[in-house]
Amino acid sequence: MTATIPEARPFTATPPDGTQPPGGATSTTVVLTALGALVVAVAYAMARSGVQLALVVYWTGQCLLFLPPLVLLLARRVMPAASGLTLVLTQALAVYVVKVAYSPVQLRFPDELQHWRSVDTLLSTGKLFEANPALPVSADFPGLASVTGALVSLSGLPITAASLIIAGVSHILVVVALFEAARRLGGSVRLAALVCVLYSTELHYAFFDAMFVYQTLAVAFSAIAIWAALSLGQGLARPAPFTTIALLSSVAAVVTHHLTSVFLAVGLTLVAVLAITRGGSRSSRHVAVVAAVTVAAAITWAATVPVDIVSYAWSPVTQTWNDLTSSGLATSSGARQAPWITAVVGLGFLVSVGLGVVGWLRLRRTGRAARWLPALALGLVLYVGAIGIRFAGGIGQEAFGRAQTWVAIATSAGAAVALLELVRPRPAAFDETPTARHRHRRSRHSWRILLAAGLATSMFVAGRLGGWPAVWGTLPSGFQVSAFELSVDAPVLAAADWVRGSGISGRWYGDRGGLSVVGTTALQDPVRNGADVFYAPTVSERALAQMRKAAVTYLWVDSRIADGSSPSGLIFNDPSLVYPGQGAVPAASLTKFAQSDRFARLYDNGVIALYEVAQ
Amino acid sequence: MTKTWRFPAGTAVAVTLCGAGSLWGPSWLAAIAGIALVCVLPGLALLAALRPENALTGAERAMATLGLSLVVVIAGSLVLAAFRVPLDRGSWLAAAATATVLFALIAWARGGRSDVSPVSRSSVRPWLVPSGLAVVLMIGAIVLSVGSDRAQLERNQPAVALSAIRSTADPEQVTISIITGTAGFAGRLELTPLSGAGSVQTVDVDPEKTWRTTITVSENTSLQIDLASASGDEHRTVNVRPIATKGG
Repeated sequence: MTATIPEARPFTATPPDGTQPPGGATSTTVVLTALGALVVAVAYAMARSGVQLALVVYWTGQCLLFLPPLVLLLARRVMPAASGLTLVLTQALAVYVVKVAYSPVQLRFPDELQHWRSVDTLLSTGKLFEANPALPVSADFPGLASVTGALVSLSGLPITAASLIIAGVSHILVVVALFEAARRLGGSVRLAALVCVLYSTELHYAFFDAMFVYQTLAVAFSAIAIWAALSLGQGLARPAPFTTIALLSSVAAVVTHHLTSVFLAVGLTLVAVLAITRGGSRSSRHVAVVAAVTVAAAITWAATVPVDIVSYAWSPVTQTWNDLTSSGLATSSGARQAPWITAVVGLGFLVSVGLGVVGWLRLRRTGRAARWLPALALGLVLYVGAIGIRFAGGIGQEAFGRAQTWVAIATSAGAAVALLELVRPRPAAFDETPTARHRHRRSRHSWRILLAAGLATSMFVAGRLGGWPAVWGTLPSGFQVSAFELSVDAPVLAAADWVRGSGISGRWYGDRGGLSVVGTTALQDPVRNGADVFYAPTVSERALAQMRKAAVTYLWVDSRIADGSSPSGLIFNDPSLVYPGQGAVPAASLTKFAQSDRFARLYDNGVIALYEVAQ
Repeated sequence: MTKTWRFPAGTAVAVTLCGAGSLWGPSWLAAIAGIALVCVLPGLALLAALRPENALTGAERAMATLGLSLVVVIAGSLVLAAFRVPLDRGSWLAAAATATVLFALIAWARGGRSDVSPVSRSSVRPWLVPSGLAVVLMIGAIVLSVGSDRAQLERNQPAVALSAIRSTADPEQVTISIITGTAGFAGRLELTPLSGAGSVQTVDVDPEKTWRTTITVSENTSLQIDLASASGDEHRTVNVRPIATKGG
């Protein structure tokens, strides 16, 4: 049987409705969405000052970020191109502002700090590929460091400000690429905008995918490459510019982030196969060239750099398998999750998959975008698989989050089609009078919009509760033990500043929060596996031998790790001692360092004490 | 198609102005110039050289401009690194400027830059009020967050920190530092050797200052240093260990 692929709807770069002025509802929606960012910022300020009800204000702001554009897109039958794009851009920018507002003065997330160090090293040495003990693999993928370093040098901005600009630009590029790709595939402005709004429910859209990490920039390059490849796959009279853009973006992604280059290579290959085998045009062959070059570039780069990329990339797979074969429901950081959160997040995932499947079936029946339906189906299948990995616990959640960046495109696209079908006006029954027909039609239409908004909201709530920051860190209310951004407070930064200025250099043991700044802003060499040294009641020869073996010469001791366990479940980044083995450290176990003549206390700020090991 | 010098000449002028702004301009101008040199100009010129004509929407054109600019900067950095040229302001500026002008010349050689569809003022004007208001709200969110984050950092700043560290050049020289927070510090510093008489001195350090002194401690001596505030609220302790036990 031969499948007939319908011709794609012709794409015009400047549609006739593109210059239509915005209506009052669109303008209001744009302002309300931006207001959402301000309301969340108010909630953050309230939390920092210890004011009650900050959480209520926070969720009010989050609803403003999501619901106005959603409802407008569901309620409107026709959306001018400029309106759709403005809605999408405003939402993406507002969500990014929320991310910045969480920690605007200082990068605090460990991965961001690690890349801060890469840029700092580049600026101080003038060389690429310099070692970064905090994240060794990043030295071989200098894309992010080079653009940020160039921006710092040429603009005079501090690294933090430059990093926020680069991450913000990357975040916006992804959304524009998604919007334009959906339009290139024949989607209406309304559909394309809805895909973007639903994609904002992706677990890591709001924070991790907008962080100053190499994945963020690489995903932006990948999105541009995929957009160009899909455009080529649809058929273009002059494919050369798109081919060049796709090639350059792909190669840039390859030298920026390892895992993203793998995802991109697979994605481009899939696009090439579908474009050529399912009624492709002449320009479809260009996609094959782009895919082949990307695969070759990824393999060549991985073979050239000294780090074993295959092992590095394979490690989460083996860990995920270990998680799958063990019991327990956990977050990526090891802490157990409240059952109600698991239920809400699970419901959101089910709605995403359900709507995605309905959308896929609808597309299959109508024959729209038929060429790309296998890719959509594959995305949905991978999404379901990724859900299973998430609930395996351990690193599964992190692996799921990384995969979500890609597979959520499929669920967002399918869900957008399904929701627009749900709110599509239906013909009235024949036996109704015109007045009754009109009233019933409006009533039914309103209910459908309400239902569609409810379904999308369940995806949104799941994304915010299941994504980052974790529920315990929703608000930046103050210090928490080994809690990523919330562990980087004034005493920690003061101690890190002292270390950097003291001229000492060496390998360090410490809790997760301490090590994330020791290895970055303090320019030291952080070492994992130190949990036993801290938990032991006395300074034992075994502990000293362990330190000698690891060549550890310094200890970072935060007295607050004795006050309670970490909300993330892991006080120490020590694979040999994982949850639930890491409870609060007994206070006596911390004072032992001060009482032992084997340690010299170099620094004390009342909260953080730094020791040199006298071996 | 009539070739026009307008685009390469305009690009060269823009690059020159941005370069000058980056090198010698005030901080706000340097910031704008730097962003233009890294995020806009190279991609703008490269896109013109690719001549997509009217195949791109305005949004796609903006997206490609930003994305290609970053690609050019990465490629330029890799090329400079390959030739062992130190990456600094001068080399990055030279690379960005050269690439931009080169692409502009290619665009000119391929027939000018007639493919740009200008955005009409009438299409932009209706968006000015809502977009402007949205930008103001988002800037307000950032300003509010910066203020509250800074205030939180200041509130939690340690009142005082004490440190003691042997000099790497001369291990008998120990530098003692008192680093104060926003309130300053007044109290006493007590030095207690493991054997022999100690010493006490009063210290009064202004807010956000570092007080330093260097003392001589023989390599085989242990010394405990205590810092206590006059009110008794704050107490810090550090110690110096014999150098002989190190590296054993």
